[in-house]
Amino acid sequence: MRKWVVILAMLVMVFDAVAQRDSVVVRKKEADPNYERPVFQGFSAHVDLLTPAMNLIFGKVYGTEVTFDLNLYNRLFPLIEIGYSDVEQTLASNITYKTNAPYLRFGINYGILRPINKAGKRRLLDCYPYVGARYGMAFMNYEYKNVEIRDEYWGGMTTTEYSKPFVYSGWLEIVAGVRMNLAAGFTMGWAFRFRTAVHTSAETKAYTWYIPGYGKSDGSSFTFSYTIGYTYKVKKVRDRDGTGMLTAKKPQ
Amino acid sequence: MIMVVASACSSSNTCYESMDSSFRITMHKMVFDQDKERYVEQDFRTTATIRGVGIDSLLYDMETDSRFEVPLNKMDSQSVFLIEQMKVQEGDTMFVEDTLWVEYSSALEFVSLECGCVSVFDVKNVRYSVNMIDSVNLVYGHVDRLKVNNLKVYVRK
Repeated sequence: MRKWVVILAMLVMVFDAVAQRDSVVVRKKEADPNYERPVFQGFSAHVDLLTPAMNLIFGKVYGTEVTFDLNLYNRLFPLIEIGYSDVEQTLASNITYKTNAPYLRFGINYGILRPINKAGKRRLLDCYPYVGARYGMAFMNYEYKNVEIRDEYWGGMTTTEYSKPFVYSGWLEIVAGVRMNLAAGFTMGWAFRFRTAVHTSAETKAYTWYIPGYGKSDGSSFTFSYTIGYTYKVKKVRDRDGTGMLTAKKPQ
Repeated sequence: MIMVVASACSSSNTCYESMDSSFRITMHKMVFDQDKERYVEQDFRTTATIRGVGIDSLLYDMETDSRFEVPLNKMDSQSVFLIEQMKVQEGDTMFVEDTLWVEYSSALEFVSLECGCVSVFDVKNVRYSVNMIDSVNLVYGHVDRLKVNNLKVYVRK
C-alpha cells in the first residue's frame, strides 16, 4: 500500500512540474499592442447615401442599405450589410425587366493603420483606412414583360412574358475605404468596391439581368459608396503601466 | 469622381449577340471509290434557288455552294421550302425543283434584356420530294444559335 502511495506522489510531482513549465511559457507571451484589449471595442450602424442616389439618377433603381459592424481590437470589423432594391427597366428591345428583393452581405474589414506608431506612441485614430471582403447574396423574383418574337422572313409577331420566383444569386466583393469621426459619435465613410464572381440558380446569368445588391450581372463592376451613421465606442482610461496602452474603463 | 461612377452606372442598350438560329442543309452525293471499291460521300456544290413556300422573297438566288442556311418559321411547327437546282445533262441546262417539309417543335431562349429572345427548334421529321433529291439524313435535330450541320441532302447522280 505504501509503495502505491509513493508512486502516486511521484506522478503528481512530475505532472505539476510539467504544468508549471508550460505556464511559464504562456506568461512569457506578450500581447500585440496593435490589437487593443479588450476584444470588443464598440459597434456602429451606417446608412449608404450615395448608392441609392446614384442608382435613382442613372439606373431607376429604388432602395437603400444599412451596415452594422462590430469593432474588435480596433483592427477587425466583422459586419453585415442589409439592403433592398426595386428595379423596373425597359430597354431598346422593348422588354421590361422587373425585380425586387432584399439582399445581404457579410464580411470583414481590416484596419490597415497600426494603432502604435514606430516611436511607440499611440495614434489618434479618428480616421482609419481599411480593406475588406464581402460575400453578398440575394433571393430575388424576376419578371420579363413584353418579350417580342418577330419572324423577319416568314412574317408574324407575338409577345410573351414570364417570371421566376426565389432565384438565388451570390457574389464576392473587395472593398477599400476610410471611416472618420464627425462629432458626438457620428461617423462617415467612403469606400470603393469591386464586385465579381456572380453565380446564380437561374438557368443562365442572362436571366438575372439586374441583381439587387450587385447590379448588372453581365460582368464585374466597380462602385463607390458614401455612408453616414453612429458609432458606439467602449470608454477608455489611460493605463499607468508606462506602455501607452489604452484599456477599457471598468464598470463602477 | 462623380463622372467615373456615372459612366460605370450607365448601361448600353445595344445587342451585340448573334440572334440567328438557322437550319443548316449540306448537299452531298455518293460516288464510287475505285480504291476502296465502295460508294463514299462527297460534298456536292450545286447552283440553287431556295425560298419558303408562300413567300415571294428568295433565300438564295442561283447561288453555288454545298451549304445553305434557311430560317424555320417561328410562328408555326412546320416550314416548307422549294429548292430549285440547276442540272446540266448532255449539254442542256435544266432546273429541277424539290420540296422539303421540316416539322419541329419550338421554344424561346432568353439571351439578354438588350437582345430579347431567340427561338430554338427541335426538328422531329423531314419529308421531301424525289426529283433531284435522292435521300436525306437528319444528323442533328436541335437548331439554335450554335451553327451546326443539321440535314444532309443526297442528290441523284
